[in-house]
Amino acid sequence: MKAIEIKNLSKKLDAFHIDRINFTVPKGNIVGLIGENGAGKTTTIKLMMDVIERDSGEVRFFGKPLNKDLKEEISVVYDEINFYEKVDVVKINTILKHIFKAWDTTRYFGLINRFKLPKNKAIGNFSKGMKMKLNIIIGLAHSPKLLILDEPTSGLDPSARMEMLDLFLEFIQNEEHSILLSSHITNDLERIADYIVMMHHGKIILQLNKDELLYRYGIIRCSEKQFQRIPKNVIFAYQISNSIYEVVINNAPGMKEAYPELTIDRITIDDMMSIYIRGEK
Amino acid sequence: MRGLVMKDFYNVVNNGLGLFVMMLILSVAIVPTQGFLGYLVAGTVVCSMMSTTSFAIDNNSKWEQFAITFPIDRKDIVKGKFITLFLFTMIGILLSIILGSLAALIFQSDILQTIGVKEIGQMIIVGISVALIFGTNSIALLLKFGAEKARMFLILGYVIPGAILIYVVDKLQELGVIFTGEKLNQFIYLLPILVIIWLSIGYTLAVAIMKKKQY
Repeated sequence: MKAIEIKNLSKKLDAFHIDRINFTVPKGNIVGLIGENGAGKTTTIKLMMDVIERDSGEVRFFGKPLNKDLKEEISVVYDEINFYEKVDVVKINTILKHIFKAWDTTRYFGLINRFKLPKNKAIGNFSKGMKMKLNIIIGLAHSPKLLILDEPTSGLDPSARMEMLDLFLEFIQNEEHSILLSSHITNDLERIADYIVMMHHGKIILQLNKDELLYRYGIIRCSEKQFQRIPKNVIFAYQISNSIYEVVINNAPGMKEAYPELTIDRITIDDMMSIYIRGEK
Repeated sequence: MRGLVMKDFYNVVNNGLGLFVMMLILSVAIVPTQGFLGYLVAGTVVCSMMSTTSFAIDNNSKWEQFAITFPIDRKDIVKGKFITLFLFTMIGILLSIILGSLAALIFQSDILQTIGVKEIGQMIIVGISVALIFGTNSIALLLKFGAEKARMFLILGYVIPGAILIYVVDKLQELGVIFTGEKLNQFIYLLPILVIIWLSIGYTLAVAIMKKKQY
């Protein structure tokens, strides 16, 4: 069963084009949607949720097209809080319990207490970390089956980020739950994601199981002469810096066997993304 | 739906002190010069305009892109805005009666004795009607152009209906229609029907705009 299934999703905007993207979020998994700022991650989420009208393509949640009832089971958390800065945590509860049928006030205040958020302080006086925590608590308080998070950890200090990641891992313990997490902080995704979907200029350039990705892909740092010997079909992307070739390859185990003289390092998603974005394909 | 209206109410009431001060100043400025009845209409319209403030707040907090992901229809967002308009119009009537009466007692101690209940009732109808008609125009304009761009058009939203009304009255007078007190009374009692028609057209238009809106 797929929590999200996207087929040929396209949208032409003024200076930007989401180009026939396809990916799935399998139920019970965390899928990391990565890409540089402006790659199209937020636009994709907005297209999925009908915030922006799509030109073509199909989006299904739990096998069905998006509808009002289905939205009860989905939470979208943007990278900033979408409430007026003068309201407080208590008022937000009053507002949302009249919007979501499954809104759980006990759970909401339980999480508010757990994260030590003040109840009667205007949210405009919250720190960035507190606002983000509140945003995620709002997302969890109506017990959704699917969390869609858009850059939820950007701007947070490492300790707050870890707290958030723990919360996501706690959520995913229920096998019925799934998460689509868009981020450009790839360390977070390496830590918790099951699958990685990489976007660049409105296109999906890679989607793979994270463990397979980290196993199959590697990075070779070599001279130009050594670079010439690397088969073109294994090169995912490369960049030259200070005459050193940094080559991301998509068959590290095979290359280790065929070219034992080359040093193939373990790749990080961050390396992979930055070399793809800045380098040659 | 209720949640959407509560959200607007909380947001706008946070600026409640400003509204109250403005209503006080208006009462001091209008009641002694234009009278209690003039203040009833002006105060109601000013208070109803607070509903349009909610659009600016929504815009700043990017509320709509969030609300669309809720289990609601886009037309519910529009419905919520119209209910908020109605709510603040009613608050406007109440505040105007209270503050206007106080101002009248202070500045024109005998004025309340000289105004009949019928006249007050008629002015309440006029105040509510004007507030709802202008508010409807504002909602449609704010949805179409957004809180920033719509500011300029909002003035037109008030001026154009006023100009049309003056033009129609002039034309009718040219055609020999004399506006007697009785005719004006009849017109005031017809106003609610005009408002219902205006609201229906405005709501339909606003829903159509909202359905196409992208955030």
